[in-house]
Amino acid sequence: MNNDYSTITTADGIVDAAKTLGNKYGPFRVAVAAAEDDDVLKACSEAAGKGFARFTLFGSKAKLESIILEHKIVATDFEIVDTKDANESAHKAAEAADKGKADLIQKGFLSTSALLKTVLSRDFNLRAADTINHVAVLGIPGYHKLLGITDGGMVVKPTFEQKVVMINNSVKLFQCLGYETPKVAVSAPVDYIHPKFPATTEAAQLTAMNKDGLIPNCEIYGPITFDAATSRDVALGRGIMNYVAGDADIFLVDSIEECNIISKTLILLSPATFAGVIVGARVPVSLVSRTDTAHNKLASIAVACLLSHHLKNMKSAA
Amino acid sequence: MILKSFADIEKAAREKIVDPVLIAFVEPHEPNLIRAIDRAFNNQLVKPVLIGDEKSIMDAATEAEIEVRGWELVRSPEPNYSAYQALELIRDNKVNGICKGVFGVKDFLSLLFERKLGFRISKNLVSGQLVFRNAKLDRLVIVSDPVVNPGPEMMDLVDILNSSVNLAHRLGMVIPKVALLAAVEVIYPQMPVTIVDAVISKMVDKGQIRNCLVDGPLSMDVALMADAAKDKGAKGEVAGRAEVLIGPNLATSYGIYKALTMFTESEIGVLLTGGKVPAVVTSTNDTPDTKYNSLVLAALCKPAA
Repeated sequence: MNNDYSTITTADGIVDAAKTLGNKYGPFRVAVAAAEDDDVLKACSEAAGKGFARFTLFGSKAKLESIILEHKIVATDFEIVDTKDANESAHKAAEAADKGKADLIQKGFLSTSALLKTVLSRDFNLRAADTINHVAVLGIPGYHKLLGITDGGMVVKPTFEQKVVMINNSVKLFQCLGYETPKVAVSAPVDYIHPKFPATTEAAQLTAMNKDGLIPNCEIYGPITFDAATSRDVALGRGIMNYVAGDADIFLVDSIEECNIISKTLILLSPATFAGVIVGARVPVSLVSRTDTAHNKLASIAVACLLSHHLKNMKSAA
Repeated sequence: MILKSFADIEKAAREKIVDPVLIAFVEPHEPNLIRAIDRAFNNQLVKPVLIGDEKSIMDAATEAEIEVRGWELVRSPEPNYSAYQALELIRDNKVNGICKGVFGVKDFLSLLFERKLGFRISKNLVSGQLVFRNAKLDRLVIVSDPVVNPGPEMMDLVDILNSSVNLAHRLGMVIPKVALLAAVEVIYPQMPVTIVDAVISKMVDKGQIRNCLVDGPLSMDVALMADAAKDKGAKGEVAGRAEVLIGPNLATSYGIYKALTMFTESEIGVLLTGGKVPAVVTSTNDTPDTKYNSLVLAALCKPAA
């Protein structure tokens, strides 16, 4: 599938793989929408320092220069495109991606919804899937591989149809991390089917559709709870005999709260490393939160780079 | 005094308890559970009543290298019968706690909740209370409900909150700080959880919820971490200092429970409250420490005579 790196199991591995690709094919071109944010600029500067990405900043030139000066940000690899407001920044960043001048979009100082509205508007041909979702890729000490968990940032309460698309989007992301046929565990409050809990019947349906080849390129199993999805012992103890149980790559969750809160528990108290990316558009959209560590911000940019490379390869192979 | 760790809880329980608390153990033929019982027995916190197949229990004790001496044993040919016997002991006020052994959680809970038997009292909502201590935090934190109620409605969440506050009081938190968890810290109509949380918060101002401070919606990081609360500009007494976390549904709270157990170095105990006596319903995979901590919580929460 790719010969440039093997299956990635840690957050450091994500950054290393981005460096490998950057060295081989040239740095990734990142369009930063509304770049007037010192935290985002610091993360960009660090990625540029690692040599795997080059940044075009869309924003007020005067403001950007003063932030760079005030925070002593190394900005040698930054190109600045002067814009009058966040709307114009988003529009121009999306345009750059649409015209193939940028490989991915980095969110700056504007709301996620405003950015995505522009990116997915009819002005551009960047819409790929009907639903776009946020995937948190977690490197959890004690788990033997990366765990993708979705969606804790965008889709509030996914419908059944949205779950299908979210699986497809997330599978592409995990393929780019070297997981050829990702294992998708579908979460529910209990691990048996009960009509009182729609999450359990939907999970069973997704599993059945996967068996019938209707959701390809992955192995799906559910309903299953978090512990059985990530521990073979727990799964076997409950009589769950399935490849996915205890070895999940992707954990598809039934609500934004469940996903957000479980991933934050792991990030805050484990401590797990975290890389977040929005999938489902023709180019990945990377976003970092103010409270993320520098390490996690760098990993978020790197994972978006890997995905953009993978999406381009898929396109040229098609 | 506010308790800061499970060592503190153990100490408080020992000071409070005059005689060891009688707890009925249903099908306890599991070495880790036997170890936990032995420790609680030696510390004079628990006096066990084991209910199940004698040989299986003795085999588990042998495997755990523990001598079962001075423990009461009630022979039972069959798991459901064991549970019924435990529930009769509760009904007849013969024991002050119940603990699940090798028994499916789902089946155990449905027996426990059968209305005609001894555990359930009036219309009280029974809920699961997780207590944990992690080195990243300077305090004990309660999380609810990771065991019983799959999709609590607003007033169920209020009942769960009140149960958590009762437990918090026993842990020495005089006015516990309660965070209602959501994905965000603000109220968005498109996220119904945030509206429910906001309404419950308002019930405190109206005097409908007492003896605690409540704020919600709050995200996990803002609720727990002072840094995150400061970074995100969250105001109020609860943000960054929460002692009780109320999850919006079971899948979320269960996820916290299992994420903590499997992937963090945390001390953990779990208790079901709201029944006639405290119930311990840990998972088979929980460590002996978690099982022991849960028994200590049960001893501390023994109903007043």
